[in-house]
Amino acid sequence: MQCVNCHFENMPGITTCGRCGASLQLASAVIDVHPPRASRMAKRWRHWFPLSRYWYRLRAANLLSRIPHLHLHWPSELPPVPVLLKMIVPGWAQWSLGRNARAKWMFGVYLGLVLSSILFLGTAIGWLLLGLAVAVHAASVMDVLGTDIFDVRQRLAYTCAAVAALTLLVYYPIGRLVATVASPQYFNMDAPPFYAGDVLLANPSAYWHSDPQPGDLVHYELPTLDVPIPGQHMVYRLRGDRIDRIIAKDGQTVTCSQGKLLVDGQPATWSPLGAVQFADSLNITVPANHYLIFPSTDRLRPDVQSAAILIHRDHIWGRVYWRSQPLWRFGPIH
Amino acid sequence: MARFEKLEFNTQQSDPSPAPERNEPDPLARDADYWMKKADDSRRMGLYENALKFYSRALELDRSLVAGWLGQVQMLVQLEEYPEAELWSRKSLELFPKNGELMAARAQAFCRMGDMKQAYALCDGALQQTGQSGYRWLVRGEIMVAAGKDVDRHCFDKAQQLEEDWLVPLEAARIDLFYQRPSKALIRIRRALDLAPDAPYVWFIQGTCQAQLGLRNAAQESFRYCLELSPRHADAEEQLRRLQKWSWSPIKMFRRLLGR
Repeated sequence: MQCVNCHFENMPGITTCGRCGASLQLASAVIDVHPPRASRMAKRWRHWFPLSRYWYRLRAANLLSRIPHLHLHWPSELPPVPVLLKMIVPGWAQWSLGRNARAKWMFGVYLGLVLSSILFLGTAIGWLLLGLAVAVHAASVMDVLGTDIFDVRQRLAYTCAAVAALTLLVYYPIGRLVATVASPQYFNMDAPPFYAGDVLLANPSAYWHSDPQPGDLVHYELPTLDVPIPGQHMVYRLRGDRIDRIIAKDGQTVTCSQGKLLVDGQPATWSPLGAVQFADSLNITVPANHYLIFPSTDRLRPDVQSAAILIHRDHIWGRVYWRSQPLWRFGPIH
Repeated sequence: MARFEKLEFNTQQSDPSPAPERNEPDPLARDADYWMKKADDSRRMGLYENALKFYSRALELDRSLVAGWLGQVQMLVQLEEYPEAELWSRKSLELFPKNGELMAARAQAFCRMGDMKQAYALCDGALQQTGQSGYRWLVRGEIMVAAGKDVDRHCFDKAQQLEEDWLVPLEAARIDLFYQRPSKALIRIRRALDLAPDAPYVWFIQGTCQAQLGLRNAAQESFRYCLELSPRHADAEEQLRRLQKWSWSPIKMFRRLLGR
């Protein structure tokens, strides 16, 4: 039997060619002979965006081998240790080296960027400004350490290393520290008295050494709670984190008389943030380690808003004290 | 039978269905060779979609036709379905290992996708296999063109030496056209025209080259020749209409600059 592929004459009865390995029984084999086809849309897409061609071109360019070797050894002549320590503040090291004009510029730009980023904390603009501040800081470091580096690519590599070192040694610890006293909470929907785009600052460390008190505006986590909707075979499921005021603490009894809220029989000093219609049937004694809160900032039905919820101490994350965005409502929250 | 005497029968009525061609065999007797011939005819007319179908028909009857598998891959490449062509050539190579033509076809698919490393390897492998063919050298030439090397001319000439078929310079011209080299394509297509002046598709490709070079009158002439030889050539009609309505516009200029 002659192979159709290589024309080698095989012995009769053999199923595959002894020379090339092709099947000798292809003529009667059950094989799909219809090739796969590309849709018109796929062809058009490939024509306009030849991604595979770009990918292979990039791969052929062997970019990795073109990246310069990072000889990240210390520069031959390091500045003295006090100057190195002063690099923690942009411009300080330059000031000590006598480059006063440069020091002023660097510190001024850096300070402006940092203050602006604090003003816009919790927003995309804030992160952008902070990134620019880090870049200015890295530039100030390179200004001291990289005076004898003239190759652009090598300078770029050193700058990247400086940014990484600053992020790890300075900005990450500072960021963690700041987050313990000012954790931005962003509102992406209206929840009167807060509105979409509002940024509130919460202090997670406020209750590390003291307990929350009635009247405190807190950031808390709502346990999963199914509130039945009257007249319908439905429940409203509440969960997630919210911001509202503590009305009563453990041991206090909360009741309602003629639509007025009473705490231990006296009119309540504090009211929830939003407008709430209290039910006359309300009569709750707050158990130990719990706090009573009305989820009034949620866009709920009035009957659900009036549902008094007991929040465990551990589910209160921090005290909310400041509104940083929008700027025309910038200020403390009471 | 008197009542049937007044019935009028049009004895000279012509059959609306076209008369079967004398060369057309009985549908039951159409074998793989018949469909391969049809595929080849379609390919020479530039009807690559039809050619692909006919190659598949041929393979339905005889799966051991290497030329059928090869033709399918080549048609997929001509139809700009490169990933599919690569996949199909891989499958074909499983059935016919180390087949030089199939390796070359796969190399062409890789080359069109931009993977020059694989294309080089497969093309080298194809040329090392036993036997010689114009197609292997055509693919070699295409890889040279894609790589920007100026030795493609020798590869295309070698392909022409191995096969005295006008399809070889035609496909070389199509390769040049694909890589935006209409002036070189025009040289190739003229050689094809010397070999087959009665092939409408060759005139069509010549017209396309001339149109890309801005030779409007010459291109119109070529498309007219194409339509004389094949009056139903829709692409030629379209191109001719476009040339007759030709006008300058910044968008067209921009598209021309981009090669779209």
